[in-house]
Amino acid sequence: MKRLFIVAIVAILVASMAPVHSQGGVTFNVGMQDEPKTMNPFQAQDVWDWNVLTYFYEGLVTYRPIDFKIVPNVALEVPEVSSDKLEYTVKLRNDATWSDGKPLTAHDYALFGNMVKEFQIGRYLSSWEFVDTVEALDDYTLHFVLSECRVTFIEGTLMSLPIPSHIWEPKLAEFRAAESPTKALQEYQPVEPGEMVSCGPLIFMEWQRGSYVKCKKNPDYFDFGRTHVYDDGTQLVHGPYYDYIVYRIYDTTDAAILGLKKGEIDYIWWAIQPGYVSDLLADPNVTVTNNPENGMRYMAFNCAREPFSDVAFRQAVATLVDRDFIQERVLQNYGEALYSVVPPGNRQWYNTEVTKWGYGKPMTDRVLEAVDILKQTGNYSWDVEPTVEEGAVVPGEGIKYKGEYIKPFVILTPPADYDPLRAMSGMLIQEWLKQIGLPVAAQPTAFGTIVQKAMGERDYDMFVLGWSLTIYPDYLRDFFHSSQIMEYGYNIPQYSNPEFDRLADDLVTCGPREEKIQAAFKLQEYLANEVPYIPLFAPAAVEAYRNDHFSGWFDQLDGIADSIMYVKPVAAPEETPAAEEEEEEGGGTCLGTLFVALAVIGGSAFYLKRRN
Amino acid sequence: MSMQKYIVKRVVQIFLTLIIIMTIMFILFRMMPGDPTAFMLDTRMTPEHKAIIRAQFGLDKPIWYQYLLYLKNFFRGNFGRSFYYARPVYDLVMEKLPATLLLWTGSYVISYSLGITLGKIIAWRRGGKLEFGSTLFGLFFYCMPIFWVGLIMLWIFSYKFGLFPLGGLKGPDVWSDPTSSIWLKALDVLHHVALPLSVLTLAFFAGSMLVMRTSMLETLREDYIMTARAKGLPEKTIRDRHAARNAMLPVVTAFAIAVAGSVGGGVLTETTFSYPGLGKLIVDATLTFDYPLAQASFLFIALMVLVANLVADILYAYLDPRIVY
Repeated sequence: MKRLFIVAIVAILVASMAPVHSQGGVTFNVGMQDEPKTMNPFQAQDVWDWNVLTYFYEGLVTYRPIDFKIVPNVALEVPEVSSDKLEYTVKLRNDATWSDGKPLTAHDYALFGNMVKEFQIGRYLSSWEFVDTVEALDDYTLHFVLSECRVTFIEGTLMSLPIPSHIWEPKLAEFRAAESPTKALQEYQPVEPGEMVSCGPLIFMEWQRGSYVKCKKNPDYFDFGRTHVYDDGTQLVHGPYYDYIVYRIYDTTDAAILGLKKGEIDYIWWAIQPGYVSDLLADPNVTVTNNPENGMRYMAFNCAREPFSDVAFRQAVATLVDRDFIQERVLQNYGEALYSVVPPGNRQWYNTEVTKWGYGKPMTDRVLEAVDILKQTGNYSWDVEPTVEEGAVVPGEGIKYKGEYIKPFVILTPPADYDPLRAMSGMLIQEWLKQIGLPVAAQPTAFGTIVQKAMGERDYDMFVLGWSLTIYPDYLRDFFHSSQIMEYGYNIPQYSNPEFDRLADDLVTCGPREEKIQAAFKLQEYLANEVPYIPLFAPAAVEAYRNDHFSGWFDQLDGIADSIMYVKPVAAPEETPAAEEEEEEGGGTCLGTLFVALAVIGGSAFYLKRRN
Repeated sequence: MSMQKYIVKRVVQIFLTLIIIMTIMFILFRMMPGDPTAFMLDTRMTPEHKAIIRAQFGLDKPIWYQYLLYLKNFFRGNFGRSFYYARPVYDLVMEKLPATLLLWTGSYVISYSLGITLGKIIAWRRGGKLEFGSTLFGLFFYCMPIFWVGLIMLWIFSYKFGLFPLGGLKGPDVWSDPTSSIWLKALDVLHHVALPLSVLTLAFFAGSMLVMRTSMLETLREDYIMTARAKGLPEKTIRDRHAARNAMLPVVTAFAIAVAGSVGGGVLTETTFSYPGLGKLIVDATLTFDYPLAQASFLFIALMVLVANLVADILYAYLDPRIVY
C-alpha cells in the first residue's frame, strides 16, 4: 500500500513537470463577471452574452466609437429616411464573407428579420414589428417595406445582425415542426466551431463552461484597417491586433482585480466600485478610467396617488433632493448629478437648459423654497411649519394636504448589497423630506419586488431604480407616454400629458435629425417641470486595464470597452507580457501541483511517523 | 429486517421526502415577490413583447396548472427549461454537478478523514501541545467567515506566490492546447480545485475533530478498554480498533447533519473561487427568479443530503455490529 502511494505521488510529480504548450501568438485576456448563457443570437439577452457575440456579427450600419455617429458598415451608405417614405433599398458591400468562406449576403439579413417576426422573438420585435416585408432582391440588395417609418429603422432594424443562412436555413423545418417552434429555436445551442461562423473580427474557438471562452482573430474580416478620423485629429484604426482573445470568468471583483494586478487579464469588463480605485492606482501597470455611463438612477412618484399626483408636491420634493451632495458624498465624484432624464454624457441629445430644482443651494434655502412651492398652491398646511433659525432647519410637523394629514409613505430602494449607491441615496432623501415634516421611510426592497410592485401591481408611493439607456432617446416616449400606462407598461409613474404624448410620438417617427433634437429638448423640459421622475445621478463607468500589455485605449460614453478592437500590443508578439504570463501560468501548474504533492507527502510522513 | 430490505424502505422514504420537498419549493418560489421577466427589462421591449415571453415560459398559466405540469414533467424525468438559460434544466444541472461533487465530496472525505484521525490522536494524548495547537487551528478556521478565508488564500497563494489560479476549473493554456494529454488536463483540474478544496476542508475539519475527540475521551473510560489493556493488547490496537471505531458513531451522525448545514459554505466557496458548480447556479437561479432551475438545483442538493443520511445509517451497522436493521 505504501509503495503504491509513493508511486502515485511520484507519477503526479513527473506528470506535473510536463511543460504546458501555449499556442503561439498574442492573446488579449478579458475578465468577465459571468459567462455567456448561450451562443444562440435568438436567445442571447444579457451583457455577458453580447460581450462575446457582438464580435461575430456585423450590422448594416453601426455607431462609430467615441461620437456615436451612424456610419455605414456592411451597407454601402446610410439611407436617408422620412416619415412619408415607406420603402427602402439598401445596397451591401460585396467583399464581406463568413469565416467558413461563404459570402455574407442580403439573404442573411433578410433571414434574421423574417425569423424574428415568424418566431416572435420578443427582444427584437420592437425593431421589426413596423417592417412589413424584408427581402433580398439579389445577393447584395435588400428591400424593406415599412408600415410606418420609425427612427428605430436606422438605429434598430439596420443595426440588426445577419445570421448565416447556409447554416440556419436547413434547420428551419426542424424548428417549425416542433411542438413549440420558438422554444425549439431558442433551445438550439450552437457550440461547435463549425456551427459558429462569424462575419465579424473574431471567430469562436471554444467554450469551457464556467471557466473561459476563447476566440481567435478572423483573418478575412472585411473591416480590418478601417480608419475613423475625428474633428480633433484623432484616428482610430480597426483591429484586432492580437491573435486570440480569452474571456476569463471571475465571479467577484476581488478576484478580477487580483487577476489584473497579477497580469492574468488585461482588462476587467465591468464597472468596478470606487472603493477599489486607490488600491489599483498604487499599481503603476494598471490604469483606472472614469467615464459617464449612458444610464440613469432616478426616483419615481406614483402620480396616480395623492399627494404624489400634485405637481407642486413633486417639485418641492425635487427641490429638497440635493443631487450635488449625492454626487460628492455618495458617488465620491464617480458619476454625475442628473437634472434631466437624458444624461449629460449623451451630448447630442442632452438639454442643458432644463429647470434644476434647488441647484447649488444649501439645505436651509431648499427647505424654504420647498415650503414656498407647497404654500403657493393653498393645499398644504402644517401643525408646526418648518423654519430656519440661526442657520439651521427646524423641521416641520403635522403636514396636511387638503386639510388631511399626509399618511406615512415609503420610498422603495434596492438593498445595499444590490446597489449601495441607490440604497444610500434613498436614506438621504428620506432625511431631507423629513425636514419639511413629510412622514416618509426609505425601505430597502429586493430588486425583483420593486419591479413587480412598480410595473406589475402599481402598488407603491415612490421608488428608486435605474435604467441603462440607448443613444437615441426614444425612451422618453416609452417611459412617459400615456399609452404605456398598463400592466408592465414602461410609464411606471403613470404620467399623462397630451401635449407631451404628441411630441413624444413625433420623436419616434422618421424625420430630420434637427427636428428630433428639438423635440427631445422640449420633452426634457416638460419632464423637468412636471417631475414624474427625479433623475438622481448617472453613475460612472469606472474601469481598469493593464497599460504595460496593450495601448491605444480611448474613453467614451459607457466606458472603454469599444477599445478592445483598436488596442495594440505594447511589445512585439514574441516578447509580449501576455505570452510571458502564459509561460508563467504553465509554471504555476507545476509549482501548484508540486506544492499539493509536497503537502500530501509531508502530511503522510508525519502521520506515519506518529503512527509508528 | 435485513439490510437490503432496510435500504429499499429508506429509498421509498427518500422518494416521498423528495416529493414533499418539491411541493414546498414550488410554493416557496411562487410566494417570492418578484417577476422572472424583470431581468429581461429592455427599454425597447414593449409590454406586449414581454407578454409573449411570459407565455413562452408558461407563466401566463394558473399556478395549479403549473404545479401539475411540474409534477408530471418530474415523473417523466423532465425538469423543465431554464427561463434564463433557455436550456433544459437537467442538462444545466448535470453540467455543474460533477464539479460540485468533486469539490464537496472531496472536502467531506478529506476533512472527516483528517478530523477523525486528529481527534483520535489528540484524545489519546490528551493535554499535549498537539491537542492545543490543532484545536486552536481548527477553531480559528471554523469560526472565520468562509469567504474571508477564501479571499485571503487567493491573495497569498494565487496572487503573492502565484501557485494556484484565481478561479475557474479549467485553464485555457492546457484545455485549448490540442497536444495536452488527459493526464495534464486532470492535473489542471486538480490545480484549480486545490484552493477551494483546502478552504472547505479547513472550514469543516474542526467540527469532526472535536466531536471525535470528545467521543473518544468518553469511550476511553469504558470498561472494555480497561479489559483490552488487561489482556495486554498493543496500545495502537486498543486505540484504533477498540476505542476509535466505537467513538466514530457520533461523528457519523454529525456528518449526516453537517452535509445539510455545509451547503451554504459550499455555495460561498464556489462564488469566492469562481468555481463553476451547482452553488453558483443556485445563487444565480434564485436571484433571477429562474423557478425551474432553482427548484431542480435545490432538489439535487436535497437528494445529496438524503443520500448522505442513508449512507450514515448504513455506516452505523458497519461500525457497530450491535445495530441491526
